[in-house]
Amino acid sequence: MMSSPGPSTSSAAAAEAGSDSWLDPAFLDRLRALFLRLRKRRQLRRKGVQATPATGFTREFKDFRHYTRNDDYRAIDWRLYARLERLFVRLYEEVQEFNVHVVVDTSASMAQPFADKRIHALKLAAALSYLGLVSQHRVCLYAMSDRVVTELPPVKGQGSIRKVIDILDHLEFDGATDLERCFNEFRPPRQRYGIIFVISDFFGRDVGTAAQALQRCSNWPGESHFIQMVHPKERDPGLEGEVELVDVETGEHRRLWFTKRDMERYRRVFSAFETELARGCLSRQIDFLPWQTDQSFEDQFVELLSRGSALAHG
Amino acid sequence: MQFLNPVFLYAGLLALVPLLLYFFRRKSKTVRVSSLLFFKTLAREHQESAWLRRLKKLLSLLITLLIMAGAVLALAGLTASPRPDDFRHLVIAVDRSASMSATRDGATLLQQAVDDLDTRLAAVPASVPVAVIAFDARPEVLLAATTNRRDVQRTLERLQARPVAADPDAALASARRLAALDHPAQIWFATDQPPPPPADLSDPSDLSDLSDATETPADLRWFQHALAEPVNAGITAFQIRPSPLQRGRFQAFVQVRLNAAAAGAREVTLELRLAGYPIQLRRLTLDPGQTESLVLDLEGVEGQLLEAEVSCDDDALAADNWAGTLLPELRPLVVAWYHEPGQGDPFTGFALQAIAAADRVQVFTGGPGAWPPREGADVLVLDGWLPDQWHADTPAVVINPPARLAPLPVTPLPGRLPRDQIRVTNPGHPVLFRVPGTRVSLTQTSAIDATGSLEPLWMADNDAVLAAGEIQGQRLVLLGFSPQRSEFLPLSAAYPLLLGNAVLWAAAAGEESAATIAATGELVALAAGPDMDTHAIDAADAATNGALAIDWQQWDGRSLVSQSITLTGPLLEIDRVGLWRSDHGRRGAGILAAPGETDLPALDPEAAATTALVADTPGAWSGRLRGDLAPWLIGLALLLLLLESWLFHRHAVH
Repeated sequence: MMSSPGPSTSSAAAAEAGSDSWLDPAFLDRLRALFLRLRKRRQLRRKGVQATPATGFTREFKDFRHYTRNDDYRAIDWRLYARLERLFVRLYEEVQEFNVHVVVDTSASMAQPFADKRIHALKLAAALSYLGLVSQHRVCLYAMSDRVVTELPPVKGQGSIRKVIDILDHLEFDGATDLERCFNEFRPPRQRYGIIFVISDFFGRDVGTAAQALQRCSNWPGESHFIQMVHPKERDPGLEGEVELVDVETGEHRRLWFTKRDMERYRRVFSAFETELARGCLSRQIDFLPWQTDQSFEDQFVELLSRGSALAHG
Repeated sequence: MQFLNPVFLYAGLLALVPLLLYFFRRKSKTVRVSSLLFFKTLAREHQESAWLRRLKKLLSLLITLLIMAGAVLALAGLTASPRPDDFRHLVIAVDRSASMSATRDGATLLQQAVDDLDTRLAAVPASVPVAVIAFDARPEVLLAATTNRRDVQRTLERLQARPVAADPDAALASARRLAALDHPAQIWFATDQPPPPPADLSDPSDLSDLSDATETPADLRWFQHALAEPVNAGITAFQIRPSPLQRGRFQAFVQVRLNAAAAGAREVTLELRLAGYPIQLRRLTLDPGQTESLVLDLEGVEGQLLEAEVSCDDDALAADNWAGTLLPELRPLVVAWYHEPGQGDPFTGFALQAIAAADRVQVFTGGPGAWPPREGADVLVLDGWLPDQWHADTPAVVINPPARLAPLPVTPLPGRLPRDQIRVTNPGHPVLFRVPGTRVSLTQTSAIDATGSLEPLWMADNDAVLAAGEIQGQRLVLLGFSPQRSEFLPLSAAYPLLLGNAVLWAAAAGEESAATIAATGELVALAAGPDMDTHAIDAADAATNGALAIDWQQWDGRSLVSQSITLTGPLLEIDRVGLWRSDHGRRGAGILAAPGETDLPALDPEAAATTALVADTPGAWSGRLRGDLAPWLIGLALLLLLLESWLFHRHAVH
């Protein structure tokens, strides 16, 4: 069974987190409580439900079936043969090992001008990693900006949470996002089948870049979850008058004169962008969750896991 | 360049607002955004380089300041006309005499003068009070000093030329008196007459009685509005009288003149009409400045309308083309013959009896006991006798005065001087009408001092023996000889003619007919009742009787037009050409008869150059911009607004 990290562990991690306040002891405590809440829900949900049809080599007996050629003869139940004079092989429960791939967008737009996006992204990555580790899954961390960099190779065991936090804590949020290249380069091998979480704002070079980049995600091994980090000011900047805009990723300056009508048009364009992204994800069986940085982290996290993630099923 | 309302220049301080906004403007807000993706899809951007942005801001500031400057200058009443010498008071004197009704380019000279004054007035600061004087024969102050420009403009626009002769000197004197009330002042004198020499203009002698004004005479600006080549023929004198001793016959005296500024000789037609029918037509060829006098005999009945009309090609003035009157009523002339009882000159008696007729001349004889004469005597004939006190109200013929009596300039001689050679000095004088001047021998008894207003008619050596003239308004004919002691004269027909002429000439000043023809501009005293035969001004009677209706047959340049006016005072001003009749039966005629008006002057190029707006002088920047520049400035402001909108806001998204 998984063991939850004690308070001392979380406090130490928080202390090591340095001056950045994205990780605090209270957060880890809440994460542990969240995990317990999820496990309880999972146990309640497993009553009368077969976990998986696959068979494996665990000690948990599952069923018998007739022996066929190419079956492992070591699985023949000789006692049953003695009684029935027919060959049966014993089937055991297979325990699957997931790979949890957490891809964090480390472009500048995730940290500037709204630091909440970075904090929420790091918290979410940490929470997902923690959940994967305590569930005995392998957890991989990736940083995504103009390319995908593997920050943490697959680790297992809840003791690796410190390593995860260290990695997350030292992520540099800089550069521009190249979604197409990143999604094209990100190809976990089949043997690392698992759950993929992409935490990003999905701001590409163009409004339609994100939707086009989704085509690269069709053959990813496992279930995919796209979490879009959005700050309320990004939906509604509330600008008026002459404003000089600076793109934090490219440094590009634009001088614009905003009116209320312009703001209304902006909101429509942004809403269309989100809708297009959600529709693209839905068409490719990718779970899409807009993450609001001004809303409760726990609620949104539970909602994320309750949307049918395998991670939530342990 | 000047400002009519300089107080509005303080509004220029508002320019500090855009300047402060420019120098202390809030910089454009810089906002860091996660991505420009969604902003790029918005409407057009203000993407431009920094230097272009600064240039546009500076240009926008300049345009804003220019707009404000234009508005402020318009409010301040910027005028392009040159600033005349500083003055605090303006007196406008406008000639409204007959000659100002001459037309040029479809407008009368008066209208052009008013338009010109309006334009010039726009350049006068609003704080300067303006007085308006209109003048013809007399100056009339139409508007006292006022700063209400609308009143001034309305007063000027209401001005109409009157067929009255002008007296610029009187108007100028009045204008100077007004100008002296508040100096420094300026006088604008608008007339068709050329300006007099500068020495005359600067002479403030008419202000000698104004102790505080003589030191600073007003600055006089003379604006001449005249035709360049005027042609005008007109009647400058007109009179009608019954022919002496000829019943039913009259003599019309007409004087026709061509103005001196006419380009050359002109053919002038004089037409006489009686009761509307032409009776005489004369064609005269007049040189410029020539005056032709005509005595025309005619027959008519009293009360018939006699008209004289001249016509000429290109005639510019119609008011002087017509003269007319009703043929006079023939009232018996009353002659009072005074002499010592039994000592009347028999030849004088014969002569008076010769001219006496029941319906023409009535002669009454009286002695010293009948003195003073009763009211009703038209002429006094004092034959060898003089009263103790002179009667100055009635014309008199004094024959052989026995003594010296003021104001008669006659001194009796101690003896008698036979005179065989008589020299006629003025054969055209009415007293000598048809009186032969040759072969006349006289016995001189008195010496006549004919150096004053008396005109010597007969001279014997260096002594005047016959003189005629006026002394203190009284017509006198003085005979310094004794008829009965003269040899040839009394026995010939010359003496009755001489005495008859003397009586008629002396009585002419008081005759009714003379009073009925008046030059325009004169005042005619109207008696209260129709039965009064004197014209004494009696204001009390007029006030008692109230308003008096006057029916005019006014000459409008082509025909006589009826018009009625109401006279509230005892005096009727003859302010139009035509015939008038009061409801009390008084009749009269008004004619222009003004050589000064008929003699239309030409535009003096030098005067036009000097009186033109100084803005026209070389070097003045505003040769085309005259008067109020507000419309130009407002137009400039609007143009700048359009320019700014096009430059900076044509791509604006609202």
